[in-house]
Amino acid sequence: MIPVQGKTSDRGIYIHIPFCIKKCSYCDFYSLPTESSAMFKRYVKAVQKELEFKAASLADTRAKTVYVGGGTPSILSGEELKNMMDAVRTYLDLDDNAEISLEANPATLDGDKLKAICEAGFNRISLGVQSFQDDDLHILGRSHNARDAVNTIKLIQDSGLSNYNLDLIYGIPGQTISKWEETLRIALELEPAHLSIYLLQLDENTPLAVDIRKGRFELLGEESEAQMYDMGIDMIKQGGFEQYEISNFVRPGYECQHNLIYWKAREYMGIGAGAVSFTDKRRYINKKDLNHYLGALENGRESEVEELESMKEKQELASDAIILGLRMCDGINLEQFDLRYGIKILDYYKDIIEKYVDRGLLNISKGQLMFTRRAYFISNEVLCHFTA
Amino acid sequence: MQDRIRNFSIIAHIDHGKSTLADRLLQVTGAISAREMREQYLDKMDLEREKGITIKLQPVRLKYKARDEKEYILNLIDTPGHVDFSYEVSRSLAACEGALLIVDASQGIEAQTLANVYMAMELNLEVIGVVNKIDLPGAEPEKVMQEMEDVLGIDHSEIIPISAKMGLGIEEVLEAIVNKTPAPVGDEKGPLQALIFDSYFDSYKGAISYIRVVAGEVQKGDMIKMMASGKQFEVSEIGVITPYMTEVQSLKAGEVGYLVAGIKNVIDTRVGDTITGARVPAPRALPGYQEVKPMVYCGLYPLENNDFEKLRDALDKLKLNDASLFYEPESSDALGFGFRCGFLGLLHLEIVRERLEREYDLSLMATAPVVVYRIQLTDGSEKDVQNPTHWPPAQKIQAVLEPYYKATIMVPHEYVGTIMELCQEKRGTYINMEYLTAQRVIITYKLPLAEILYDFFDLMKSRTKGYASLDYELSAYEISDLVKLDVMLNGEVIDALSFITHKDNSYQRARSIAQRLRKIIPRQMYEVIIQAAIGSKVIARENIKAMRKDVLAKCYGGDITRKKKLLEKQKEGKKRMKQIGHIEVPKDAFMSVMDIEKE
Repeated sequence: MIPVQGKTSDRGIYIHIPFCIKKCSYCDFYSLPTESSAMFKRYVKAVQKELEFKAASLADTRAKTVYVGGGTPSILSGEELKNMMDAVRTYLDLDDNAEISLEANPATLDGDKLKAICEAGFNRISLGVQSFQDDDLHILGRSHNARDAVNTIKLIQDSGLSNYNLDLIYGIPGQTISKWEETLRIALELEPAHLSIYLLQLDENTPLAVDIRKGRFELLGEESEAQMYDMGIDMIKQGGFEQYEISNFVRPGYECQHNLIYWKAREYMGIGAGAVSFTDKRRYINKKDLNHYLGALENGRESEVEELESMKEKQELASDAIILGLRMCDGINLEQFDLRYGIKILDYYKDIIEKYVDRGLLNISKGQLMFTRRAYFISNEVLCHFTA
Repeated sequence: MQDRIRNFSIIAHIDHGKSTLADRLLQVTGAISAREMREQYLDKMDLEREKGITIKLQPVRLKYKARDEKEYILNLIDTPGHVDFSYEVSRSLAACEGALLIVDASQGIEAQTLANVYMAMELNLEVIGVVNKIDLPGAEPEKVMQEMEDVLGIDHSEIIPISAKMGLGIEEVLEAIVNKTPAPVGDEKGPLQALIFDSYFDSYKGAISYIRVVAGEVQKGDMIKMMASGKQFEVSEIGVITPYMTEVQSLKAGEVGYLVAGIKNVIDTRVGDTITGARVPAPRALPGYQEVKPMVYCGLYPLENNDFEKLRDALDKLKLNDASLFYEPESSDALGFGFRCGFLGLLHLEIVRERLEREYDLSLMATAPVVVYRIQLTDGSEKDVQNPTHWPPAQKIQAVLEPYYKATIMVPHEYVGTIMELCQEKRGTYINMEYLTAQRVIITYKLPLAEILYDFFDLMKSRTKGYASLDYELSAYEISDLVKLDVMLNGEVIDALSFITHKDNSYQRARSIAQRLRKIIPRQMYEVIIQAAIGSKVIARENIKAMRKDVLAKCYGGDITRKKKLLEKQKEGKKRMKQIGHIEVPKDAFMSVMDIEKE
């Protein structure tokens, strides 16, 4: 048994909304393009049902975070979002100070929708801006332009919701260093609470990957990508943010609590078609099949799950926690890690750690094991040695 | 008795259909039933069956009732179809009175086949010509028969056209063996003389010798003596192969079979040695015995340092079955502990390496193959070097000699210029050229073995669209202007990458190796500088830029399982790398010194 720090019953809740206006060219998440409100209603009902089913097994769970992701969850109407959150409160013990996030696409928000979102109880929005350059947005196949995004952000600010994140992507075909700089400058001027910058990474089946294979577009190459990453870190930090994860930056106090649950290898329960859960040392996923999901819940059953991995040995759990934990700039607290997994990292992984400390990629300081900044962009090189 | 025995060999180029003909002979004579039949029945190694190539067939004794209504015993003794094993070819031929020469009806005679036929003729074997694969669309049996007559003097009306695959002409082949091959005429009463033409190791019985009794008789319980080594053994079993091992009471002059005598190691039953009686030994051994010496050496190192003992065990076991394999422990700064191994040639090396990896589950690194150089030192002494690491410093070298081979190349006449050009490039000396027919030419050159091993064969094949064929034999050691080329990674000499090259080629070779390493060494966390140098003089340089990106930037909950799989794969990939200092070098890099122009 693993003694978990704090209450064993603290968990995150993830709700997956597998709908979007249209598929973006780089997206490989489980999501279907539809705007059918009848479908949305059915789906929300099914989610409510699933929450009801889970209520018993989550009886001892206190939900510290709720994260509604997708897809484009903001495609749902204010009322549907409210119904869904009501069900969360009905069936789960939701902490009073819980962080409740909604992923949103600029094309789906207006003043009324934002009002409804706040009324439903959401206190954080993660906005998929991706770029403030229309050329980039076009290649990414986004359903909004740069001006939409700026307007939407202004609306969010007007709504009084201060905790919002902007997602940005770099490494887009055709993107230049100066265009990326421009995107960052606009983002910083808007003063969000949180910024995520992700390198464009393509699953081989995405339309953009196919276009690249066919020679219609070209990726930028690792030199430019690394340069963009470095520039991103420098600019965002100068803008008053603190980097707390390889790709994430924050104004003090606005760390995304839900993401921290992932990175700290804490437990979370996934709800909805294609949602991933991590409980009882197992990671598993509700089948990525909307019809199955709806059919099951409408007939009074739970969706089938597929097991992704089951970690029987403490070494496996420890390896999992290291791979996730080193993503955080603070890294891993060695003492707490030992308490939790019964593994003294510095002894158990002595050779690896010595090797990479020696090469300036790992650092041990104040009881924490962490990456050096130099290691962030080549982190897999180190992380692969920690696989179980 | 002897007048009913026919001992014959098969001479064929790889792919000309030797195994298939052997399969048909087994079937037609009823040695095995249709139910027991499988393809390439007599191929001994899985490796052979898998690659579809036959190095050597197992010997077999066939019973054949000929058209004269008499029953004959036909002993098939195969010859290995590769130049690495030409000594074994000579011993197999020496055990026979006749030889079947199989030539592919669309390919014609190849250089190596020709060499083996000449060897058979020198040993006074009756050569029976067979043209195979006459059923194939590109077959030109008439042309090939004419060629065989022109080149080898085999009357073309006596050449048998067959298709082993379709089963055409098989009986004609059997009749020809009976009617043309002379029966053995050994002295049955004289002292025992039996030629060992092959041997292998059996984990229950020990070393098993395949023998041809030339004179006298051998029985179970006899004390025998190996005439080359002088060692004595007691015969515990003798028999024939039908193709099943079948015990018999005795083997007499003219017969072929196997012999078991509690011999622990194939080294004590060497191919070419003569077995005689310990009590009444023959006055002299049969002619032609040679101790085979490795011609090519390379280092074999386990990728995992702690597999050293496992590698030693595996080599010990292979050696039981392979008297020509040589090995001794050596160490390398870059690769750790391993073995310097000697082989008859590159195919032999490749087979041993592959068997070690497959049958003994080892992951190996091989250094580039080298020949044996003879170095005359300034102090008047001489030393053999088969490892570039042991090359003496330039100021101590008086002269270096390298092995030169007489290479016989058979080629259609339109490629004569191409071949001569290639031989010149490869430091060859012209010896002779002869038109076999109006179309086919034999060109003889003296070439350094090092060049033949390096890329000569591949270049010859590619520049002649595969039409040229090659045979070679040792000619002499001669003085050459050779230098040692060192390769450095970030300033450190990587001993396992050093190689010997002719001075005139050194700049080009140095550039090629540096470029090749730049391609196969992946980007590292730091820049890697590759240099090639003679002594302290750097003559080529390349650099590999530092890795900038190796990250999955987006990583949220659900993604982690997938990401972990990618990380595991990455870790697996590192297992194929050898860590040298701070640099991860793919295990195949060490062999790549050889592959420079094979891109």
